[in-house]
Amino acid sequence: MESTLPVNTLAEGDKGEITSFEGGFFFRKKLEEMGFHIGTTITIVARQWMSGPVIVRFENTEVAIGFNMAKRIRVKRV
Amino acid sequence: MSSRIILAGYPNVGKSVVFNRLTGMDVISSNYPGTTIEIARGFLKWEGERYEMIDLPGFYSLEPTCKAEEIAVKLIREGDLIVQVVNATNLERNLNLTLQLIQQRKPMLIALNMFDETKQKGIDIDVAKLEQILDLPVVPTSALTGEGIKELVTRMKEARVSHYHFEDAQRWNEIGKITGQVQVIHPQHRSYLERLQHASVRPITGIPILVVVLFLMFTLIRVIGEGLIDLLLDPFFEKMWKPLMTTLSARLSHQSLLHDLLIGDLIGGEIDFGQSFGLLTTGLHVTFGAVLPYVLAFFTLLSVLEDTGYLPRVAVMVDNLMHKVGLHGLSIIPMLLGFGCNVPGTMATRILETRKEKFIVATLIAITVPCMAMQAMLFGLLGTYGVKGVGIVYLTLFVVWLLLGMILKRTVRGRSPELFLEIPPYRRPYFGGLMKKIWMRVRWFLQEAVPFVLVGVLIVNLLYSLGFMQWVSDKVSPLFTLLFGLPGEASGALIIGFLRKDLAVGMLLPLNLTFQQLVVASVMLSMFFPCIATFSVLLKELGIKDLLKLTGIMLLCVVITGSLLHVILSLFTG
Ligand SMILES: Nc1nc2c(ncn2[C@@H]2O[C@H](COP(=O)(O)OP(=O)(O)O)[C@@H](O)[C@H]2O)c(=O)[nH]1
Ligand SMILES: [Mg+2]
Repeated sequence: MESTLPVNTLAEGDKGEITSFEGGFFFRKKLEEMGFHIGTTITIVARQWMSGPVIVRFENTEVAIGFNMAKRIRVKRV
Repeated sequence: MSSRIILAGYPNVGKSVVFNRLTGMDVISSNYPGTTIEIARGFLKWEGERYEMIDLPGFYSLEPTCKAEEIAVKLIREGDLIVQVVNATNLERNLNLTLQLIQQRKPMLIALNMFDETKQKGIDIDVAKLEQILDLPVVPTSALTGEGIKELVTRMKEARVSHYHFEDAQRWNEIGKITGQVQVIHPQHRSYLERLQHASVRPITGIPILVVVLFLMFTLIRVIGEGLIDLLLDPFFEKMWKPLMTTLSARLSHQSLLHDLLIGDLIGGEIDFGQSFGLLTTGLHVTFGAVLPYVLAFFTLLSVLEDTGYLPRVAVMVDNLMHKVGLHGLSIIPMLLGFGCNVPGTMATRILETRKEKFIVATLIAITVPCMAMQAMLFGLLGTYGVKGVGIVYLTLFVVWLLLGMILKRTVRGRSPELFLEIPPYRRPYFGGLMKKIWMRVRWFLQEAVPFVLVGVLIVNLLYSLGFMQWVSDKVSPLFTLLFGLPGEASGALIIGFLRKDLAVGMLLPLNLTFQQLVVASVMLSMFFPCIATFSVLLKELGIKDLLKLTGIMLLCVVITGSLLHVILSLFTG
């Protein structure tokens, strides 16, 4: 099995393919509504200092994700 | 074709621009019955018929998770025809909503909006193929320029219930299959705008950009506001209105009740717009001559920031700071609005998810965010002392904001969710829509301000002539002097501040306060009861129980801050 890591640990410019959402129904739903699903490839656009939000891009959408939320999205590097 | 047309779509896809294009200026914006969520209704006239058109607030899903979404879903069910506005540069994500809408089994068509942007972004969409797969009319539009809007209207009669079938569990697969067939993306170089977008969300460049933008914004507000006053309003009030009022004053007998009400007191034999306190003098001057110019400047600039897409980036940059007070970055938006007028600021707390966030934001706005009327007064009272006076007031308010927020974060029960926000690309605002937005916000201010200023003037006169002000002032005098170093008469300003902050200045001016007293009085006036209009909105948004809590917190804060500031300033000034 390939190793996966949480989105908040990726650096600016890194790419990852979403492998799992670690949270309940509402957490998944919130992400799916914004267009994230298992298999989406995301690019890290920017990271704020300290435990600030991470900005990711997929397709032509940019989304800011709070740090604690980003922790619960796992990706494998691509 | 049918009678009620619903515009559906994700936020930021251009629904409102499409709506404005379709309905012209014939728009009524109303609150949905029983709630406070704003939806816009208008009418589309075509081939001699009138169709009702509804612009839904942006929503992400047909399985509602918040009030706005519940209403959106309900309206979709009641609609006769659905126009989904799709962002063509984001086909995959938007199709997710398309498939959900198809399951509603309503006649539907698609406006493939932002089509102009697809070319720049190297996106090729085979529209005919998409139409065929979805079994729905698909019309490319560029709402900003109006391209395709006409075709959208003509093709409304082709709207139909799609026969497209899919397994709901396989939705994302299905969407992938569709985009694979209709869309080709050619990689592009990053445009200048995209570089700017990137720079404004990276902390190392984004924070300086934010500081510059906010500094420019508040400088421009002052420059524009003062410019309007110096060039337009002061000449009008001094050269035209004052002579008119002086004539009127001479016609009315000086001691008559009517003179007192309309003109007020003559200060040194002359009308003084600040202190006369007549309906036609102070009443009109405060609203139109002193505050409106700043409100107009503020909402113009804020609306530009909003429509270009900068505000979500502000939310990202301040997220860390907001976490200190139990919130996330998005709550900066109601707070910024609050600087213009606390009423729309408080109403905007609706964009927040939890009760905890709403309570914290509403409380912080009510106590520590001075509205434009209040700030115009601040400059009037303390402007002569340079940045020092006004600076101390803003600094004090910020310190209270931070400390109170940190306490509320730990004591208010409930959840503090995380920031999760789409960051739209920078876009050129649609001029018509921008004007409409500014006008709606200024109208807000006028609707709230004018009646309360006029009533306020009446009440001030009444309370003075009944001796009530004197009575209160005598009662609180020892307390005020002891705690805040203020004369008892300053309490009158606080009482009137509840009606309108901008009236209170006329009551402080005649007291000839010292610099220190002015600073303490200004801070207390900013923090003490928000005006009555804000108060009634707070009641609607929070309910009576939370409003009482907020009031208690507010009184505590005012007394503590007022007396501490008095002590600190006394130490410095000796
Ligand atoms: N380039 C381009 N921009 C557009 C188009 N339609 C809307 N916009 C811009 O997109 C932004 C969001 O539009 P708005 O109508 O407020 O979106 P809503 O949230 O769906 O109502 C605004 O800045 C518009 O000026 C379009 O067709 N092309
Ligand atoms: Mg809109």
